Amino acid sequence: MLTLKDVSVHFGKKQVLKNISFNLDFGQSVCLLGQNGAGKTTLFRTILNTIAYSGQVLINDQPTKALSRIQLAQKIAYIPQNHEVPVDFTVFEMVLLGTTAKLKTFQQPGPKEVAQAKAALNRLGIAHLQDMPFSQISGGEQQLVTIARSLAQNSRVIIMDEPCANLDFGNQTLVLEMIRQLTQQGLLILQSTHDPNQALRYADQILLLESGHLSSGAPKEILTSARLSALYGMPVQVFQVTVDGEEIQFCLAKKGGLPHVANL
Amino acid sequence: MGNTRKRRWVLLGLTLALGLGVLISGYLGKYPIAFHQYLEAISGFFKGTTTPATMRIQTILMNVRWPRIILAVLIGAGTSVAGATYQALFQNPMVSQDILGASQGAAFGAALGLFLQQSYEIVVSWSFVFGLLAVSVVLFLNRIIPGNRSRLNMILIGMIVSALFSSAVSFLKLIGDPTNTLPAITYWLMGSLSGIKMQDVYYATPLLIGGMLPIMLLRWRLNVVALGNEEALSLGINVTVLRSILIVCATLVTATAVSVSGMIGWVGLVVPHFARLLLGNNYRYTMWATALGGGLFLLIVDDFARLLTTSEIPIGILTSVVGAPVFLILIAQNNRPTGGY
Repeated sequence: MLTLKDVSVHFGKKQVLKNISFNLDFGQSVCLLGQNGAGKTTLFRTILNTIAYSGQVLINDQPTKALSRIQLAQKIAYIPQNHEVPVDFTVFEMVLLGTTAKLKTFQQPGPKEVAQAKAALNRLGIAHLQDMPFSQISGGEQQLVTIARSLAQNSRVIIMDEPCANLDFGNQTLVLEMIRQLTQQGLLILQSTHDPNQALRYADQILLLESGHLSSGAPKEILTSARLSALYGMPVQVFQVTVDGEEIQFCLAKKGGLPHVANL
Repeated sequence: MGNTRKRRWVLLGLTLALGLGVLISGYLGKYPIAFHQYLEAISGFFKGTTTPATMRIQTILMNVRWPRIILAVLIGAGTSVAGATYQALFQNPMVSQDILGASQGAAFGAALGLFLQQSYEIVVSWSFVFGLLAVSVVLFLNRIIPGNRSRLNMILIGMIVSALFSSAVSFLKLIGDPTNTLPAITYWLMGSLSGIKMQDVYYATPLLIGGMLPIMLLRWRLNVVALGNEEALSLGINVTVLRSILIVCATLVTATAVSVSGMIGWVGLVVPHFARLLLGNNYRYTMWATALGGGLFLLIVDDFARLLTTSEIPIGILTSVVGAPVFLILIAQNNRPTGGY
């Protein structure tokens, strides 16, 4: 269980996060939404204890500030936004890096770590990629590899910064379906996204950041037409349809809703 | 896995080549030695026997050739390992101690020591302090100067800091005594392994190995650091501490090498690049290839330096001839959409 109690972050005089509290259970897919600059990355950094904050972040009722880097890494894994790979490892090496937290300072990964990395690759069904250079697989596959690395890291919480940015529709679906699958197996995956439709379709719980304030709840409660319209500053309507017996919600921006565009 | 077998062969091949290189380099030299006598002299070392015929050869080997061979290998290995470390730490395959200004800083420290005619210990420690200072200045400027922190940015800042320290060395040469300190500084700056004595080996070996050892032991973690700060942190690495340790070690090796042999440029840039071509980016294996390959490379280049012409060619000149074109290729590769690093 990941708990935030009364967390605030200041950058100089500016308060970026204001008294944020929430409680996330394992086995959930959680989407964090908010405008650009709303503090999504700051919230992640707070959870990962890489910036100064007031309040408390608890993982299984243990304050993360009291944990060492190594201990924290075994509880929370972090996948930064898809960016240019600084070093081109093979897929297998990339996943093997996830086992570092459990190694002694001067230790090299041995058979146990190799087995762990292979298990993670198999769990995501990407063992066939293991000898490929990381830079030469698709963006979606790269995300799966970083997820596999988090599994090899053995942490039950995975935080992903916009895992679907820069991915095509097919790869987005691949990554989102995989995330859903893993959360059903007991992981807690917290991802930020700019696409409310992804959140409507794949999230069990929503965190919504509006100028430093956070609200949380089920997608149906939080992602209403009114909230989304307010969040993005234009009229947005949420629709509900039934596809193959499953109720699906999606949202659309209303036509002609932006006066300065209409005035052109 | 095919990879494992390839790795084994490459590392075995490099080790054998290095052993063979050391053996042959001892045989090569201005003073002609018959090959069978050379072998006799060597086996004499192991058995502890000397005959009048091998006596002279053993003296030459002990006092002239071996000190030079030992330090060529150690400096080559150390400089390459240090270069690879800087490249991983700054996630930039185009940096090395020469480009970050560490060599020039170390050179200034050492030149200052030579200028003031200080002892060996002082020369090395000043070299170390100024090398570390130069790297810190580059890192600091890279952080505070606004704009994108691109790979090119760091290289440009490194050039500026290098130029500053180079002109400081020039100033020392200007005010140096033209009969002793000026030629000493000038010739030493060109980079040369000539005139190395057993004494130098005793001084420099512990420092070179002492700097390389932590890097070799931490080489797996270097992979994690190479992913960037945030990822390394979330993988359970205390990045600040690890980075500091590695920078200090790499700079210690650089400073020691510069103090002994002057500016032997390009080795730290080129050798890690070839090691990566051979074994990929995983430092767990590539660092060994870097160390072995670096030792072998400098040993061979030094053989050319002492044998190519009747008078010695400073080895720094030869390494530049090899290094400059390779750097050009690296820049060309880096500009392609999928960089090779």
